[in-house]
Amino acid sequence: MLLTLFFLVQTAFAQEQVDSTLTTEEIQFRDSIAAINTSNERMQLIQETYNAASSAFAESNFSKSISLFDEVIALDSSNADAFYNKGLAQKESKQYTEAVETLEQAFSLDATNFDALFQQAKCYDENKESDKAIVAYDRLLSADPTWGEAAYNKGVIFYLDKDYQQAIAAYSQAISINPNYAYALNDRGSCHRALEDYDKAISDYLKAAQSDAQAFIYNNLASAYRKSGNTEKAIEFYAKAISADANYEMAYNNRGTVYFETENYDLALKDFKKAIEINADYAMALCNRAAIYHMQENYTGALADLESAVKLQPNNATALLNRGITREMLRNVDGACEDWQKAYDLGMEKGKEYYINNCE
Amino acid sequence: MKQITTLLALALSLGVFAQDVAFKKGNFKDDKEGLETAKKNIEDGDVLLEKGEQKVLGMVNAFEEFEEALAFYLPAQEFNPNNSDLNRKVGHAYLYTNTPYLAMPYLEKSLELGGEDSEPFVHFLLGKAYQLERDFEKAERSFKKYGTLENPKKLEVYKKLNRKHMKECRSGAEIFGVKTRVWVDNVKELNSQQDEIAPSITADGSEIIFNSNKTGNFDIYTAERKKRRWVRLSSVNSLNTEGDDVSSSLAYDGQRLLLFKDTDGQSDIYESKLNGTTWGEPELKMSKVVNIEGNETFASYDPQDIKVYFVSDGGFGGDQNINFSGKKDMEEKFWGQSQSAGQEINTGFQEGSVYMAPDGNTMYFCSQGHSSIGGYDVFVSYRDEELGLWGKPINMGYPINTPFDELYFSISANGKKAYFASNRGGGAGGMDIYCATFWGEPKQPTVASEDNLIASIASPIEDTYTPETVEVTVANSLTVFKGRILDGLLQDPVEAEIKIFDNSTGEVYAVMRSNSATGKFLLSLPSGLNYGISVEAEGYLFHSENFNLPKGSAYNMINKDIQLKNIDIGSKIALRNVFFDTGRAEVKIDSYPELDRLIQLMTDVPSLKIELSGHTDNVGGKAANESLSQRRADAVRQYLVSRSVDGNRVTAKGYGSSRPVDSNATKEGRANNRRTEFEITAN
Repeated sequence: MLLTLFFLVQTAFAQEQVDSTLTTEEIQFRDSIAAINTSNERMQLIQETYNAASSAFAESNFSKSISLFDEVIALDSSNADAFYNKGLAQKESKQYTEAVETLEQAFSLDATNFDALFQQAKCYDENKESDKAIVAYDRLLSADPTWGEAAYNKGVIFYLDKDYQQAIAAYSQAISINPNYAYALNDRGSCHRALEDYDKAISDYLKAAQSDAQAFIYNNLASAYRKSGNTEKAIEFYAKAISADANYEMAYNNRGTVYFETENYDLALKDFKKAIEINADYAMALCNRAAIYHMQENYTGALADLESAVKLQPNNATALLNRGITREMLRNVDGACEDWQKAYDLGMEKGKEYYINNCE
Repeated sequence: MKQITTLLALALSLGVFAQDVAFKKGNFKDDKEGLETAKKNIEDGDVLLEKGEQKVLGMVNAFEEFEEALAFYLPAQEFNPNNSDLNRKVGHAYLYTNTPYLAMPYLEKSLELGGEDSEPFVHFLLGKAYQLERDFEKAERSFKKYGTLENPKKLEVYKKLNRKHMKECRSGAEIFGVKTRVWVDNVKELNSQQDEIAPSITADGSEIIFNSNKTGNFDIYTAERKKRRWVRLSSVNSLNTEGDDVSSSLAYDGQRLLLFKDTDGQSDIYESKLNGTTWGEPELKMSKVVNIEGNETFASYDPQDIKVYFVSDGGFGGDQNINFSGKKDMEEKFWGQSQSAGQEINTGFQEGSVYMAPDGNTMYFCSQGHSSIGGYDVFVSYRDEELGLWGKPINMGYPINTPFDELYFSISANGKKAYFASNRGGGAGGMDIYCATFWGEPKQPTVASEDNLIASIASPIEDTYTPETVEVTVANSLTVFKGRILDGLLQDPVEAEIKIFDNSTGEVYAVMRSNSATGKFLLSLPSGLNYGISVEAEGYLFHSENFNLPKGSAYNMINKDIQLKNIDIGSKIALRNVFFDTGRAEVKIDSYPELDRLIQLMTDVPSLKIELSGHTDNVGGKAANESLSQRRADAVRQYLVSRSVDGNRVTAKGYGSSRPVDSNATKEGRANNRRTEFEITAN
């Protein structure tokens, strides 16, 4: 160790001895070259570390990615991209508070990076901090009023909070930015539906479908028609949903319920069977098929389906209620009472009615 | 012969060739005493059977007579099971007890034994048995056959009954074809092998009172309903005596009880009130004047408790009918005369029990008449509120009613459950209590639908962001190359043109001039390249230097003075940028720029003649070195000549290791010795 040190000192001294022949200008030139060399090496390290961080991100190794971006930032504290991507890696790791802070730093370094604001809002959103998410989206929209997705996401927050009027306003804002914004049109339709304004709901769903003919949009449209009492149109658009996606079991199930309510039990059964064929674990369709079997007095068949439905979803109140009804017909009164009690505990008033009238 | 006899005896014992065995001495030579006993039993049984039959014909209950007749017949039957008449009588008796389902095998055997000589009456009895088994078609055929076979005198007596049974069969066929929304279950926790009768429940169905003769006499029992089961079954000791104690109706609130007692050879209706948990001493319910004639038995409360409906045999025909008595109001002590419930209710046959529903306008009663499908059936009648008259009774249908007896109907206020007694088969024995559960309105299963209302949840747009990589600028360190251009002879500074070449591409990297006063030059070169430096000045031979700076070289500074040789004859210049592979004499492509500069010099100075010389270090053999150095000098010459340099101006010679310019002891020295030179031989 001492020898190495001595050698280094000697070399440095020798260098210094060489350096002592230099003029002042030459010394300055030499130092500038040394500075350039250091700078170049530093730049190369920053770039290589940045790329390693990006690769780790791509491999979803977010902790490693964060660590490497930190190294980049340590070398270059003004690297806005490093802050931004570190923020995203933190978000992916569900370190939302940290991500928000990091993204704020990214934005402070690059005030044109509105993505940073958007991702901040998404952090709040994913962390269920709805109020903060709304504020963040609004901040983004102030900075860039053309950011339709921000308005859309606001709408989703309001919808899930059941604040349908606010949701409508937000979706409308998104639609004003992009009149063909299918998702915003669909969701606004859903708001109108929640407010039982089915005409407006239908109008929005139709526009959404024209823009993006996805199965779930057709399905929503069909359900809106159904809610408005137009079963013919409902069936028509459930069929369209199926045409858009032949494996959209939800449309088969929903159409089946329309047939059931209009007493076309054969067609209803056919649809429920198809839904189950597509998805053998579709508890709702199993429950619905059981209803048909029950109506046909095939109580054994009905029970088998209901047992499957309850096994898949032990807290499915409808399945429990129906199983109670079928169990009663099979003379398992104790089992029926148990099911109705549970259905009531899960919020189904009918369960209470049946329990009181039959079990006490 | 012996074998045939044995076979015949065996067949007889198996009943294959069943023969009617008369109660004669000739048939029972070995047991004369047994025969006499059997005959006596039959005689005694016959008396009771006749009594019972007369009561039946008089539309009066007679199961006691038939039970007693069986007590005589069954021992005789055991003595001789193969007598057609006795089998018929046993079957006959069973049909009128609370175990009528036991009759069939005896009746069928009677017919089989008797064949065409059988008593025609057996067809009537078989008709009843088939009716109990709900084989209404067969039953009706039997009744018809009886009608054709019986002698007119006896048929006259049974005509009414025969017609009644045929009517019941037709009703039965109709009723059994109709599905009613009710379940009937045996209440196992209350029943015994004996008779349980007259269940009566409170309006909410939480308590029950009934009667059982499981201890010998009829006693009153009570039970409570907990978690859909009857529990705490107990005898009402305060009411039960050594004789028969029969309750008929529990008040809707469970606080009062109607029962009937036999006093002075006549049954009257009494009432007991509940004091705390004890039933009080029964008192006559209605005024004595109500009960002057006949027996008042099974009774029912009226919701306002100013009327009592009851079964009485005190009427004109002596059969049981439903009557009622009332008083002005609750405070009134005197009850009015017994009155008939009306001709819509009462028939020419027996009415067995009555129950008034809590609404006061619905009456449930049991009757052998109306559209009964056999025995007693439960009927319901609704009162016209305006006219106060009871409407046409409606048969409660199957599964409440069967061809057996169904009696003592009591229903909860919500109409969900009712209790009654029946002697149908499959119970614990005798009369059993059954529970009828009314389905009520059909419970419709619920169907459910769902939608994906939020698009971003239904069809999320995948965010597959990946940070973009950046281009890596490989950091090339710089080497500072400084020095002076000097006259090789006088050491005077020379202003010269310095060119830096990238040997790999041949491209000029930089061009500069040394300072005329000092001869100094200063430049920086990035590492990672192989450089050639040529220095040219007028009047001097050009000079070449080589720098090989591999990548990653640390900062370095090279300080070098370059001595230029003037183009005097005899000047020697080492071509440091001419390269060969080890041991080989092919000029490498990296050498071309240097050689091209030499060619240029030759072109610029047309008078110049040169000798190209190859030199080696001292490693290896002398001859090999000389050969190699010669071949290399030749190779360089060849290159010049191929580039249009006049071959006469260029000679080539290999000196091997004979002319070192540096020490061969060091690696650096040996490298310096390995060279290609040219010498000015003429100018």
